[in-house]
Amino acid sequence: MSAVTLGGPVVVQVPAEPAMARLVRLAASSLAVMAAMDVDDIEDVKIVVSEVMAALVEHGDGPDITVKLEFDDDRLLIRGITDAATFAADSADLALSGTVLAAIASEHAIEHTDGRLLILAAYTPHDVSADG
Amino acid sequence: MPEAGHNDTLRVQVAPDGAIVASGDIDVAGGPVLQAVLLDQEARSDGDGTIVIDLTDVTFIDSSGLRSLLGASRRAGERSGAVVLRSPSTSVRRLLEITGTTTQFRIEGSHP
Repeated sequence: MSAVTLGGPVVVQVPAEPAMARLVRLAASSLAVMAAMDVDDIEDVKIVVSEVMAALVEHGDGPDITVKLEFDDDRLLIRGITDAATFAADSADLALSGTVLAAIASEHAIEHTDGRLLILAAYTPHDVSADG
Repeated sequence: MPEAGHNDTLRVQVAPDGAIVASGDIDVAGGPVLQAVLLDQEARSDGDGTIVIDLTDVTFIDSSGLRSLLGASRRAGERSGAVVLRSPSTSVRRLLEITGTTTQFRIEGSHP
């Protein structure tokens, strides 16, 4: 993979609606293509972003969702945030999503602070992972 | 095939053999569409409670989509039936493996 040169993070703000998950997946997969990730990595990035979007849509209550995508060395960092007055961290659907993120993302975290739900995920491409 | 449900990125039809055929993305938007069709078909079913879901043309699935499949599997189990996943793609199989849910389904056929 070749590192992509960006002048800054790519920030996507969308209405907090389920249909917007595809739009954010497309943005993230386009960024992955620009970074010369392979097909398997691009599919993984789409899943990670989709899990982030699903959790924000289903557990947030704000009118919009902001997703920031940026590279940190060879890792793609995904940071999604929305309003959420309350948050049930022990929900079954979130556990399933967490299982997927744990298997595909190199790191992930879900935080609920001051009425904001924040989901962080880092994706490391396979060739970088293999190189240790 | 008659259409049973759709949104912008997912179409769900019912095949002549009763199989539910999904085409497109089963994500946080598509999962509820598929679930509604599954519930409707389950209510109409007078067979042994087994539901066949053809995933040949599913291009994307995440845990939201998987939840609709797992819900169908749970309900089928309550009827002593099963959910058959027909021709799941590599991505569907991988998601099942990652989440340890492959055993919740009968897998039929392989994706080309």
